Amino acid sequence: MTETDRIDPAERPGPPDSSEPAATAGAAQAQSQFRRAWTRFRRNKLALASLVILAALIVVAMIAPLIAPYGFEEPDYENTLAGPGTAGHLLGTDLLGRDLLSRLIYSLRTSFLVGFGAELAALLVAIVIGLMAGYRGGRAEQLLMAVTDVMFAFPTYLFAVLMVAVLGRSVGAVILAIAIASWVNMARLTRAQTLTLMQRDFVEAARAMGAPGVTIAVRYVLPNAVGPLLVAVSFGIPAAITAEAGLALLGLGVQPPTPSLGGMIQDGISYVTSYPNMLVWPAVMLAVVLLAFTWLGDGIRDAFDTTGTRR
Amino acid sequence: MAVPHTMPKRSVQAAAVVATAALALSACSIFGDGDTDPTVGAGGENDAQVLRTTWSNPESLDPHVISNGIWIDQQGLFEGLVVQNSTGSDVEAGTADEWEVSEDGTVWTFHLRDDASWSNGDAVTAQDFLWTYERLLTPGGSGAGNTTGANSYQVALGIANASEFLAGTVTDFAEVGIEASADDQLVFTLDAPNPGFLLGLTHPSMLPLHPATLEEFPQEWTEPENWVSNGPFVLDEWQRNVEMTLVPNENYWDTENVHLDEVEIQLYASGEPVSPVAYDNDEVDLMQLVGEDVFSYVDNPEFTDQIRAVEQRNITYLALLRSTNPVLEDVRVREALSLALGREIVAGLQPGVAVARSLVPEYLGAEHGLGQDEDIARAQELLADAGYHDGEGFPELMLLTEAPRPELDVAVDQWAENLGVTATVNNVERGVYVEERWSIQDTPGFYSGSFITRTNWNDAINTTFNPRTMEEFSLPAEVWEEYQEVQADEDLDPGERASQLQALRDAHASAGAQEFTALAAEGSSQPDLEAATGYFVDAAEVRDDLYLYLPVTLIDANYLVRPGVEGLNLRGTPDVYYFKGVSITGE
Amino acid sequence: MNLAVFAVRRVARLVLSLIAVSIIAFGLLQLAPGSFADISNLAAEESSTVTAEMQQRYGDEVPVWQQYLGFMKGALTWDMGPSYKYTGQNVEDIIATSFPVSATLAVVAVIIALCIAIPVGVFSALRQNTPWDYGSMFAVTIWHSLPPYLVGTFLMLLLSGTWHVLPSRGWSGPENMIMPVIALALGPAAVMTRYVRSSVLETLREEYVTAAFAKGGARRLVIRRYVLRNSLIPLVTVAGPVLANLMTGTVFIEWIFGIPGLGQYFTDAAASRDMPLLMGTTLFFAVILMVTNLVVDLLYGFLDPRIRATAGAR
Repeated sequence: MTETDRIDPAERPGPPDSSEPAATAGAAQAQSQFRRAWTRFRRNKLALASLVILAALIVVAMIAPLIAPYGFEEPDYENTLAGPGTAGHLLGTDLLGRDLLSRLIYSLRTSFLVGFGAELAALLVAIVIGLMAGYRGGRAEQLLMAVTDVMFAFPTYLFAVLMVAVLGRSVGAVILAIAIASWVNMARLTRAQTLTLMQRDFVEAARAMGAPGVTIAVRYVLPNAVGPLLVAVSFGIPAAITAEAGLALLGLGVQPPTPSLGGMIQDGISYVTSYPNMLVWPAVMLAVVLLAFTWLGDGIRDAFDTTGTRR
Repeated sequence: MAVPHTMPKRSVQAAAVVATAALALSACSIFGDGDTDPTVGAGGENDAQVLRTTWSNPESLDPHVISNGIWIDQQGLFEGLVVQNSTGSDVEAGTADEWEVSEDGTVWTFHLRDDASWSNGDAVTAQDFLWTYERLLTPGGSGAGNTTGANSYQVALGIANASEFLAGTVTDFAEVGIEASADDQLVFTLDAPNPGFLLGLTHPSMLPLHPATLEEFPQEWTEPENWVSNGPFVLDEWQRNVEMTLVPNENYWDTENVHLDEVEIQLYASGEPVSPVAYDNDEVDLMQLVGEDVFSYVDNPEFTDQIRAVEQRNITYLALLRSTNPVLEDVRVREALSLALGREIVAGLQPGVAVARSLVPEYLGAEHGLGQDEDIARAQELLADAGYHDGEGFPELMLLTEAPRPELDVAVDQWAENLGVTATVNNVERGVYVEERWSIQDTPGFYSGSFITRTNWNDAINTTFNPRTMEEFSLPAEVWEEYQEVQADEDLDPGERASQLQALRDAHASAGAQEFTALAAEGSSQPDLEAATGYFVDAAEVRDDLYLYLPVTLIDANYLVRPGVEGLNLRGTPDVYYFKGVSITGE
Repeated sequence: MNLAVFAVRRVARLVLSLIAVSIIAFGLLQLAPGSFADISNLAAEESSTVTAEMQQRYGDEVPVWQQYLGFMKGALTWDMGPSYKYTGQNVEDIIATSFPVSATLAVVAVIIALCIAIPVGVFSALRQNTPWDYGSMFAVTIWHSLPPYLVGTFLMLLLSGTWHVLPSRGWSGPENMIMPVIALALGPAAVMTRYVRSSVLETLREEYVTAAFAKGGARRLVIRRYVLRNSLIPLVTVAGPVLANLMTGTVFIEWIFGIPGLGQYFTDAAASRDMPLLMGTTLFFAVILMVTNLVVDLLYGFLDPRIRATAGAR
């Protein structure tokens, strides 16, 4: 887990959204927003390329059993610690002769599962609490503020370590530990977005027409908050993947023999002087995944940004 | 509307100056004293002989509390009554220059040498030893009254009433079999003859401490400024998690054989990877190679003259987990699993790993014919006899571990292939591991662990995989549950608890485990190690046949040693070597 | 006065959060399997110095809530008692010797990160959509994607293992700081560079800047006088938390380079269930994080009149 990733997007000062079109229905507003964003996004070649790469990697991860040449725990005692290019083992093998390419493919699967799982879990909680805090205020807001205070004061990393000790090292437990440590930021973001959107004409119009609170929140506010949330998620997923890698280095990541990028890096780091390929593959793969997510996130942010900060 | 504003320039500059100054100030004090010159080392031009080595950061240097630090105490800070010889197989004179044992083998009298003295010039007396041992044996004490670590006293010494005093059943220290009969004469009374007694005295727990210093500084006596010890070296500097510096004790009785002018120990924090880069970069002269680094150095022609191995230093094992599922209570099943572990495969994976065929290391056991070969056909037969032909109907097994170990993955693979038995590795956090391995599991299986092998027969029987442990492991699951309840029962007084536990073991431990206990006890009552060995060999054989602990591999400890380091005797003991006698010659 | 009420509220929240943090940390520690005694006995076993009552638990006779209250009482008076594992060392002493190390590393790393971020970020913004802009943003994103422990390992293999120009580990002089600081500074530098760039771009579009340009102000002057000052202020909000996080947890860098900072004690305390050390370091970290956040808020308010105005009006 990198220590630098805890900058709260909600706290980043920026000029308030000023351009405000005439009152239209919130849903239509959101839809057109999406269309414009997509048009802009498509023009960003780097972001588009990242999206394609990530989509390809996700497909690879999903069909891992079909394309991996071996199972991830299938040993080959005749070819232990083989170098790259060995017959039958394109990227080489580890101490037990397990095929590194296969393990890399399966580790993508685990890391994506952790990344998406943790962000999704965090997102769900964040949306509910953030919306309520922003829309209703009162108890939900106080609760969010209190939890935020505590979570900001709690070293996230210790939190994850203790959570894994308590919950165990299954994929689900690791996802939960990371999600718990990361939902607060997103909840704050949702709240901030909600507060801004509440002042928009279309929300006020809906309110004036007597629509119930839940409807307004879900039909008018939420769709329009999707942009910033999408940006947050696209930065949150790589953060969760990095967090798992950090836990793995402490020996607390997803339990072996299930490979994860962090787990493979942890294995590889001890062979760095003797069999560096064991470190190089997962490290490069991790860097590619993180890079792609960063560029994708940049692309999404620029696409949704109405102030014209995009390049 | 937004108003442009400017920060007062002067305040910015002032802030910068203050920040820089503060940084410079803190930089002066945050580093260690740093008076040691790192360029002076083996083969350096300077005449000073400095040995630069590594150790895990000691949590404490108190020899009465189990920690990494107690081995540094033994390496050269303190000196006990006797010290180990170069191979660790016997003892030599230390602070005591003579000793004798009574005919029945239970009373040992040690005569301290006249010139034994503390680093502050005080003479080392028998009373100092007595005071130290009372501190050692005081329950929950260690003098300071607030230490929480495990007490380091070695029960296997068998000093009369010592364990009882430690447990609280005997409250008068005068009843313990240690007596200072004169200023320079210390007498031990044992429960029974003990062939391992002399070697046992070389354990750090039996080192003398300087009473006056400890009384003055109950907690801070391990700080360099308060340090007083009687060994060849004294503590000069201790920067935690970084470095410890030892310098010769000028008042040591045998300064002639102390050659090093300084010992510089780089301290590695727990969890910190120990990288041989420090050796390559000429920062240390002597360090242990751990884990996968063996691949770059062992069998590398460039380093052949710089690698020294302590052969078969560690033994890895699988120990039976208590389970509500009784499948592993059948010894045939355990034997079958042991016979098909795939040890040869594991040993072939990396250099310096040998197959363990017995719980006694091969260098002790081989000449006595101990050990068993793996035999798939026999394993399949045994499993079929037990009612699980080709593993049919056999429940899934769990292998509990706190770190990834290749032998577990190999076992899972081999059991599946040869016996049709499925197993999974359960790699958990350390705290989970310590709790789970002794609790009763739903899934049958084993936990993985490793011990340092013992270089003599007495320890190989009475310390590691000792009789009490074997009996405890042979208890059926439900009795084990009751046994643990008694252990955790704080209302029981210590004596009552001990006897209840004994009764449970007597009533429920397996016949084999009890036979092992009896043979071990028989051997231990022999006057010397030679006479005892015959019984110990038989005992070891009985113990191996219990299959409660399955031996897996024997692993060498490899050390990188800079050419020019002389007089280094690496032993299989946890302290590895003594600083005394080591010298550094120019190349 | 409003500001006083604001301050009192803020401090009250701080104290309440601290109590919550302490309860959560203590609770998690209680929930986590294995006790300190069990774990230290395992260490004893491994070196096969098997003691008499190896499996017997001890030391936990005091009820759990009393342990908690006892610790908290001590913590209030900066007297947290000895660590379980590092016998003979008081928790406050451990913190007092190891925190300055972590703090120095963090401060130096953040300064270096700022020294990279400000010029690169400003330049990229001023040369928006030029090859320079694309190139530097590309580089920044790439180094942001490299985890510090990999950078650290690589640096050590290169500078110590191959070129032999720097000590691989230890803490005896400034030369020991070079590699860890670089490894630590890269990530924050990347974050801040991106931040500076977008902040400058925003300021350039502000009315007063366009007005200043329109009035025919010299480009250089306008940029220095208006753009830089106003766009760098928000950097405080990024630099603060970055600094706090670096000060509280750099365990991998500490491990790789053998630096006696607080991060490793903290990890060790969690792993060995050393209650006083874990609680002590956690609370200390919490205070650092909170105080930094508070200072950032106050500083930001002080630096930016817009915020000051709204805070006063609240």
